Amino acid sequence: MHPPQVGGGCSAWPNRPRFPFRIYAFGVSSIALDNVDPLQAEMAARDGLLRPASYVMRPDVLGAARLSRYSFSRTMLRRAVADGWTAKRVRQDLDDEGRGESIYAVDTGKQRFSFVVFTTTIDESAHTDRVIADRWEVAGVLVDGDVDDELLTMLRIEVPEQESGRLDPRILSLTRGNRSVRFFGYLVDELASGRQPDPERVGDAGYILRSTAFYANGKFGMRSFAGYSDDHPFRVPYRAQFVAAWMFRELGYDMVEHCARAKGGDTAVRFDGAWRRYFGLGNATGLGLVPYAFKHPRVLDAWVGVREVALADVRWQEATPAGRSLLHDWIARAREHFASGSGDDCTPFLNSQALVPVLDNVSEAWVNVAESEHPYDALYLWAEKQGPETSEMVVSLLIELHDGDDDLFDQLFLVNEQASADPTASVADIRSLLDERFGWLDELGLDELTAEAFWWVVSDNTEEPRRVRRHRLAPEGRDVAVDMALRLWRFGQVLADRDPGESIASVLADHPEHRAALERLTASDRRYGEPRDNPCAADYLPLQVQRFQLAQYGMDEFKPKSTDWLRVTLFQGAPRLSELGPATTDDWVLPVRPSASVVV
Amino acid sequence: MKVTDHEVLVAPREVHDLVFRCARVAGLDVGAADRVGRNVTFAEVHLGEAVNCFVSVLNDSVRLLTEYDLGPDVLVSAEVEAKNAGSASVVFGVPTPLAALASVIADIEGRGIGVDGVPEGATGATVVERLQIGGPALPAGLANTTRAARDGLVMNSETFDALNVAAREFLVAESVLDEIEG
Repeated sequence: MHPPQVGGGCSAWPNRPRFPFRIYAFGVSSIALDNVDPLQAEMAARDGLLRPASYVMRPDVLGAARLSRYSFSRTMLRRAVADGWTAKRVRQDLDDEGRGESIYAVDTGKQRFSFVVFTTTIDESAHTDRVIADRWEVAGVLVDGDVDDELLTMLRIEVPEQESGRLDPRILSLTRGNRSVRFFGYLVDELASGRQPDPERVGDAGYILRSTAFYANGKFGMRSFAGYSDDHPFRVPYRAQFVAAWMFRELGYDMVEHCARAKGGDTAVRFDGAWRRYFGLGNATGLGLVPYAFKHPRVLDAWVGVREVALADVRWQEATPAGRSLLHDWIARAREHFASGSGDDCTPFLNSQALVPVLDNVSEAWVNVAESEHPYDALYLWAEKQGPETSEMVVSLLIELHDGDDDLFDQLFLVNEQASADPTASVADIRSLLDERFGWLDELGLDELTAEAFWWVVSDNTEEPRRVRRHRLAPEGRDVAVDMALRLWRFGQVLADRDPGESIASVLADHPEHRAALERLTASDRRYGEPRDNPCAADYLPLQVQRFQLAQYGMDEFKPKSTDWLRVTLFQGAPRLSELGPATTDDWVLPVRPSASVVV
Repeated sequence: MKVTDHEVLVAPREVHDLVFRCARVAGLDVGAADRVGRNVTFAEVHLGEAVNCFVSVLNDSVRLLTEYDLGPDVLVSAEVEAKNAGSASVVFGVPTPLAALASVIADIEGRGIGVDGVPEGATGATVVERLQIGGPALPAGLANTTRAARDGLVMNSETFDALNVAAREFLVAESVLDEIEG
C-alpha cells in the first residue's frame, strides 16, 4: 500500500482517528462476532456424508419437515434441565372469567426472568388468528429480571397495545394470543363439574390458548439479540421466545383451572394424569415467516445444517442392540401418537391418520434392514425413495438417536450474517460464484411470465407481509425483496454481456438495480442457505417453507387453513413448570391423546 | 439506560428498517436503500447524530439521492482505483455527511484498506468533501455496537416520530390489499 497522495496527507496517517470497524449485524440470529461459524467446520468434517442441498432444499422436502431433537422447544427444555433452571408462577390475580394479571418467573441460576401477562376476554366474533387483529385475550412479555412497580405500570399500558406500544431493552420478547374458542369453555365446564375432559370431544385439539407471534430482537424497542452478553442464558437464537412460549402454555392450564374453581367451587377438579401434559400451546402462522426464510441464508443454513450434521452422525454410527431397540420404540411411539389424532383435511400435508400407514411402512422397512451393516443409513435410503413425507419423518426419528453435545449444538445455531460485497471483484469472479451457488436457478423457469406473478408488500395493519398479484397493484417502490431468485437470474444475464476482466463496481455503476443481487450472492456462502424456490411465482406454495420453519421451532400438528396460513401446536406433552428437575427427560414429544381409541 | 420525556430508546434494527423504508419511498432500489439503512445505522451507533441528519433530508429528494445514494458510489469507485493504484482520492460532488458513508467506509477498512480524512470527533452529521483511500486500515472495537444492541440508542422523540411517519409511506393499506386479494 502506498500512502495517500492528497486529502488527509501522509502526515495524517500516524494519528488518524480510528474509524469504527463494522460489526453491526441486523438479523435475528446475528451476533457481534467475526465470521466465526463452527457449524461450517462440523459440516466440513462430514463432507460426503451430508445430504445434498439439491434434495434437502427442495420446497417439497422443506415442506415435509418435522420437529426434531434440535428444534428450539426441545433444546430449550434440555438446557433448562441441564443447568438446573427452576420456574414457577409468582403471582396471579384473575377474576372468575380469567381476566387479570399473572407473573411467572424462571431462575436459570445466573439470572431471573419474568413472564408478565395480561388477560381479558373479547367477544367470540372478534377472535381471529390473523396477526392483524387489534384485540387479544392474552398479551405478555418476557422481562430480563424481576418486575418492579414502575415497570409493571409501564407494561400495563404498552403490552396490550402490542405493535402500537413502545418497549425498552429490559424486555426480551412480546407475544399475544387468544383462547381456543372451541375448547376453553368446555374444559372449564368439565373441570368445574369434577370431570376430566372427554377424549372424543377434545379430538386432537392439542391446546388451550393459541398464540400468533413472538416478537423479539429489537422490535418495538426491545433488546437486540446482539446485546445479550456472552454468558447470557438466552444467548441462543429463539431461546427467549421459547421460554416465553413455554410459560404461555402454562398460563392456559392455570386459567382453565382457575375458572373451573370459580365456577365449580369444591366440586371442581384439576387436570390429572396424562391431561396434565397433553395440551400444548397453539399457534397460527401466516405469511410473515416467508420473507424471513428468503432473506437470511446463513440462518437457514444453520437450521438445516444442524439437523443434517446430526442425521449424518446417526446414519453412519455403529448400530448397537440398544440403539436398534430405541429406534424401534420411537417408530412405535410415533405411530401411536398419530393413530390417536384426527383425519381432518390437512391438504397438502398428510393428516395424522394418513401418517399411520406411513409409519407402518417405516416399521416394516426397519425390520428388514435392522441387522444390515449400516441399518440407519439403509433405513434412510429406503425412506428417501418413498418421498419427502416418509424421508423427513425418518430423519426426525433417526435424530432421536443422536447424542450431541448441547453446549456445542447451541453454538452451532449462532451465525454472523454480516457480509459485504467486494466492489473490486471481477465480472469473471462473480460469474463463477453465481454458477457455483445458484446454478439451480435455471430449473425454476424464471423466464416465464408466471415467474413474477406476485409482489410481496407489507400491510399498514401491524406490518403483516402480504403477496399481491402484480397486475392488480403497482407497488411503486414498496415491494419486499423476497424476489432474490429473479434478481440473481437477471443479474446473471447482465453479467453474460460484460467483459470478464471488468470490476463489478463498474457493472453496478451502469446497473445499480443489481446491487441487492450482488450483496445476496456474497452473503449466500453456505451449503443450505437457499430454498430452491421462487416466492413470486404463480404456483408458489408458502406452506412449504412455513412448515420447515415451524418444525425447527418445535411445532407439530400442521393444519393448513389456506395456501398461506396454518395452525400448529408446540410443547404438547412437554413438562410443566413444576415438573422441571433433574429427572425431567427429553422424550416428551409425540404424546398420545389420553384414553383415545387407537386405530389398529 | 434512563431517557428523558423527550427521548426514546431505539434498537439499531429499527433504525435500519425505518431508514430503508424511507429510502425506498424516495425512489431508491432495494440494494441502494439497504445500503442507506446500513450507513445511517452504523453512523448512529458509532458517531451519533446520523438519524437526525437523515431526517433533515427526507423532504429533499435531490439531496437524499445525491448524498445517500451517489456518495457511497463515489467511495466504492475510488476503492477499485485504490486497489489498482495503491491509493485514490475521493472528491464528493457535494459535501456529504458521514451518515451517508459510514458503513461503506467501515467495509473498505474491513477489506484491509484505510480510509483517511474523517475529522477527529466527527458525528454522523459531519460533512466531508474529500477522503483518501489507501494505506493500512485501523480496525476499531465493538464497544459501541454491543452497547447499542444491549441498551438501545437514545434518540430524540421528535426525530424518531418523523422517521416513523415518513417510513409509513412504504406500507400498503390493508383495505387496498383486502380489496385486491380478498
